[in-house]
Parts: sequence; structure tokens; C-alpha cells
Amino acid sequence: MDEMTTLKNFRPDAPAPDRARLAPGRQRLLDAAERRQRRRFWPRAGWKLAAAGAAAGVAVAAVLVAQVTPTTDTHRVEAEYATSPEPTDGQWLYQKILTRQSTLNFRDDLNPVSEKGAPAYMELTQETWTQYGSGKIRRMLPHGVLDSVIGEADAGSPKKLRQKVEKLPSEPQQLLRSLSEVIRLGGDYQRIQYTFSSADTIPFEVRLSLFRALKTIPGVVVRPQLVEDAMGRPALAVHPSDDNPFTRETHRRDELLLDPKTYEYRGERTMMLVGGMIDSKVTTEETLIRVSAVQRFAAAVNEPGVRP
Amino acid sequence: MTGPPDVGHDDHEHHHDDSSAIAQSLRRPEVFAVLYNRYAADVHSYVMRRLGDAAADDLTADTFLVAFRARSRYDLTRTNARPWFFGIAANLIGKQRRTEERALRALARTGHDSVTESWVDHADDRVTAQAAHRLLAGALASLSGGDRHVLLLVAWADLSYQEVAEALAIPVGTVRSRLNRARRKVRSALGDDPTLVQDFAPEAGHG
Repeated sequence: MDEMTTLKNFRPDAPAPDRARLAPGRQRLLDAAERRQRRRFWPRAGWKLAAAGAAAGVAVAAVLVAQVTPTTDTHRVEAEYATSPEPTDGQWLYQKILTRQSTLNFRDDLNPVSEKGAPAYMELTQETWTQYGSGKIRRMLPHGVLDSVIGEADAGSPKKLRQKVEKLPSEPQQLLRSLSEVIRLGGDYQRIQYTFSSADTIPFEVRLSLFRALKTIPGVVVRPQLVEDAMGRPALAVHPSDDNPFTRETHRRDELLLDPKTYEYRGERTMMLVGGMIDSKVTTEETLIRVSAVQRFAAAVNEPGVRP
Repeated sequence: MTGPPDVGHDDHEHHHDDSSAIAQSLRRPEVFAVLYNRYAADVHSYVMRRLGDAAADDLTADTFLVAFRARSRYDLTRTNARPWFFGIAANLIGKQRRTEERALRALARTGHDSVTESWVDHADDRVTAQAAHRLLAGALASLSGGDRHVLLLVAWADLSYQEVAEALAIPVGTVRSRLNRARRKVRSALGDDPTLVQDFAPEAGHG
């Protein structure tokens, strides 16, 4: 008998844990996830939906290079952007989310550096179809097969959300108050962020009101310079003040990206800030984009599985 | 993966989906629990085998909490996250190195394995370890922490060399040299010729 066989025969009968034994650990994980989620300001998602991997946003694209363009008065409103036509109840909103993660090497607890020879980032694409009237969600599995219905949108169907959001008053303080009655969790910033990311077919005027209200929230920063997303499109970057528990603890800043003219949702990105510790051990030397997930509303289609 | 996450433990056919779940969990943290369903039982058994019953629950839970907090650093090109979890578990086990080595030495000395006994219900069922296992335990106790991780990840967690390299964030060449060194020591302790180490090539495993 060789030594590997002897080793494999050593303590071979360690019993497999049953579900009851694993349940407390799972709960600890979920508790941590919920804390993180609150911290990250996402209104609580339906567990089943989230676990099934549905993304309640919209479609595509990606940012990576943070480079900024010189600013002009890009926040000025151009009112000719029309309201998106409302889909019919039976139509499906196609959503594609591209997540890009910079290929930084943290493994030796050193300052993160790009890995030599590696692409600047890797990416992962998720596609979902959400039925406008019902909120049912289906998704494309990695091997190209359409999954069965995996859940329902957690904030109600896109139609219901649009109906609620359309009724929001335009005056910022009234809007924030009304929105807190539509979405119960989170603070004002988180509620507006969630609305931008979840309600893509809302009229331009409402997006404008949401943006105006967003700017009135104490501590909210609208970056003075536009950033550029990976599609080469300029985007407004908005985030809560860095003096918040999430950023203090993780030295990360989550930014919301919006189209500077139409205020459509362009996605989000996570920045690692200069001079701090990440996960208690990695010191960053410059502000980096670590994760960038961008969505862009593509279109309503008549069948799930169909791409516009 | 169409059902709710708590329908039981998936088998390992969903590896292609691990990086997808991790990416999703960046925006929807609770998605991470899918990975717990997939790998917690595996990690638990491994911890049990190394440290015994008392440590297994907490260390398994800690493994997933650490992973959860570090998930934004996960390399999304690695579709199979199993090695990642085992690497984190190995690090946590490493913090209890003295406990582990004390138990191994006691086994070598007395023939009683406190780890095995931790999951045996009755004292009557306790058996004295066979001679080879006493020698083996002594050898395992004498290995460096790094060498022991490599050896046991290959032998008990069924990780391939490449997967061990990913798990411990070391080059695959280092995995080979550590494994060879560990095997020579064990072989020598068992009274076999340490120069006759055969190449041990576990299957590509769970990739």
C-alpha cells in the first residue's frame, strides 16, 4: 500500500453534515448578506428571485477606464428626450448586464497590480427577460438554454413600478417623501438609485425629477467631471459622501452612473479609493475601478429568449 | 438551478455557474448563499477530518463569511469556486495548527485519535488506530503547515495540482515540490523507501 492510499484510508468515515447542522452557518451568511445589502442600499430583494440569479435592472455595456473628460455644463437639461413608449403587458423587457472586473492581483496582500499578460478585465454577461405586465423573469443559462420562470421582479412588475413612479411629484422634497411610501427600505439615496436601476421605461420628465431630487439629498456628490463608460459614452457619476460606514469600512465607493443628458441608468461601478485598506489588508495607491456592472435598456421583445 | 436555493445540496454539475453567482452577489449579496448550498457540506467534511467535530460548524461558517467579504476579489475567470473555498478553509485551519498537530502527536503516541473519536457516539466504539495510522499521524504532525495543506487538499479534498495552486495562491510548481516533499516524509515514516515516490496525478477533478 503506498502512502497516498494509507492517507486516503486515514479518518475516512468523517460523517457528512446534515442540513440542520449546516443551517446556522447558512443563516450567518445570510445575515451578513443582509447587512451588506442594507449598507449597499438595496431594498430587500425577494429571496427566491435573487437566488435564482435574476437581475432586476436593464440592459448592457460596461465601463472600465475611469478617465474623465473636461467638464462643461453637461448637467443642463435637454427636454426633447421623449418618454419611452410603454410596452404592452405581454411583452418582455430584454436586459443584458455585463459585469467587468479588473484583473488585479491581490493575492500576496500587496498593492493591487494588474497581472502581467492578462487582459485588463474579465467580464461576465447575464441576460434576462422580464414580462412587462406580470413581472415574471426568465434568464439565459450559460449553455444557451432559456431557464424556466425564475421569479418575479421584487419591486412588482415593471408596469406597476412605472405606474407608481409616474405619479411622483416633481418637487424634490415631495418626491422623496412619496418615494419612501413606494419603496420602504433604505434611505432617500438608495431609493432613488433603486428606482433608476429598476424602472427603465419611465418618462424623461420623471427621470429628471428623480435626478433633481437626488442632488438635494445631503452628502450626495455628483462628480464634477464626466466619466466615460466602456462603450465610450459619457456618464455622470453620483455617489453618497465618502464619509459613510460602508466606505469607511471597506475603502470602496459605489457609484451610480447616469446618462448626462437623458438621466437613463448607465450602471454602477465600485471604486477602490486611494490610501486605504481593503478587507483589512490591501493598501491601494491609487483610485481604481474594481467592479463595474452596467446595464442599458435595450428593448421590449415579444418572446422571452429573443434578443432585440 | 431553477429551484429555490434551499432545496438541498447541489451536486457539482453547476461549476460553470460559480463565477456567475459570485458576480451576481456583488450586486445582490444574498445570491452568495447558493455557493454555501453547493460547497458547505464538502468543506465541513474536510474540516471534520482535519480538526474534528467541535471545530467543523464554526470553521465552515467562517470560511463562507470570509469568502463573502472577499468576493469582489474573486477571479471571475475561474468558473469552479470549489478550490477557492478549500483554500480559505485551509487558511483558517492553519490558525489552529497547534491543535491539529497536538491531536496528531497524541494519536502517534497513544493510538487514540481525538479527531475520529469526536464523531463516534460511544466510548465503546473507540478503536485503537492501526500501526500505519500512528506512523502516518506522526509524519503529518511533523510537516510544515504549507506542505500539510497541499498533501491533504490533494488526498482528502480531491483537488488537482492546478486547483491546489489556485486554492493556496501559489504556483503549480510549488504545489508539486511541496507534495513531493510531504510524500517523501510520510513514506519514510511508514518505513517505505522515500526515493520511490510515484507521480500521483489526481484527475483534473472538479473543473
